[in-house]
Amino acid sequence: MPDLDKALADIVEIKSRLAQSSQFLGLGPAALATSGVLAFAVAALQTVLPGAAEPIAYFTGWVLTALVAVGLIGAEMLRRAQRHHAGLADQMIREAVLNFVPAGVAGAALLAFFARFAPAQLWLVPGLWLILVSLGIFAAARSLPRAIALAGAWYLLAGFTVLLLAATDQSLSPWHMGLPFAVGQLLVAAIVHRASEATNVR
Amino acid sequence: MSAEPDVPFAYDGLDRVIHEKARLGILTSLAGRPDGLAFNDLLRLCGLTQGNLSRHLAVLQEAGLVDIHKGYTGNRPLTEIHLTPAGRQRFLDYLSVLERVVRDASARAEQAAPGKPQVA
Repeated sequence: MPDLDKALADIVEIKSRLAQSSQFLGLGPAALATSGVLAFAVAALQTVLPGAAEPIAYFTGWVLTALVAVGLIGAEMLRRAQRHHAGLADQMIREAVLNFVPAGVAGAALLAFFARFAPAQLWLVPGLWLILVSLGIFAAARSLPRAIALAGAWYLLAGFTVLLLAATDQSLSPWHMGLPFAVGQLLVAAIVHRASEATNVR
Repeated sequence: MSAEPDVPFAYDGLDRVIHEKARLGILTSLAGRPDGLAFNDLLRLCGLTQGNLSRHLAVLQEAGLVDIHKGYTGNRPLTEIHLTPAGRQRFLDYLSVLERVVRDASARAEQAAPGKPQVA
């Protein structure tokens, strides 16, 4: 039944176009703010725990933090997308996730590459991760509130600043991750919260 | 929008205002354009005459599905058409019902295919 399959594909294509041109309301300020607080807490913990600045402990801590943050944000995204986007929820979530997947994959690949082939250069990773996050935000900016570009700019600036600071002694500092992510995630949460309120008023 | 169990193929959600070839084309053209489209772009995309496009846009505007804004760019008149938020939602609801129609038809066609058991 190629005609029916073609008709279904056309309908899915139109829904995708609607999704691409709609503002994504699935990002929840609560989960975003929590991820920022979590980043700050992990940095504080790594500062006081002995051996936490060793590369394995350092990156294990931040990879686990990222997984928890993605889980929190993803769970709230599923709940909010169903509520705000109804019949378009699946398409909206897929579009949103696809925007961040390249940055996430590149971040994981960078860590694996440096750990395997250039462990002495692992100090580059936090700064590069921040730059990748900024690229993910800019990629998703079309379907997010306009002010989200500020958060993208913050992560970009923070990424290069961290690279500059880390280059002086080529070390891994918990605050090179904790501070930029805490500020960045709280900034994204504030932007999303403000946009949600504006939408509710409308 | 969901079909009653005893009349599964009623498809009441197929909005009659949208369920017309030209208007479906207009709404589909506007679907991916949050900034709207100019009247002349819609003419080109939908292959309609000016009179036909105006008539269908009037129907869609009256139903609250599109906004029509008449202004100027330089000294030239420019008419821009946008999907309204309500129009976007109604079009989405319509697409969901249409998707169900096609899936139901596909399932029936598979059942009716040679070698498949017939369902009463």
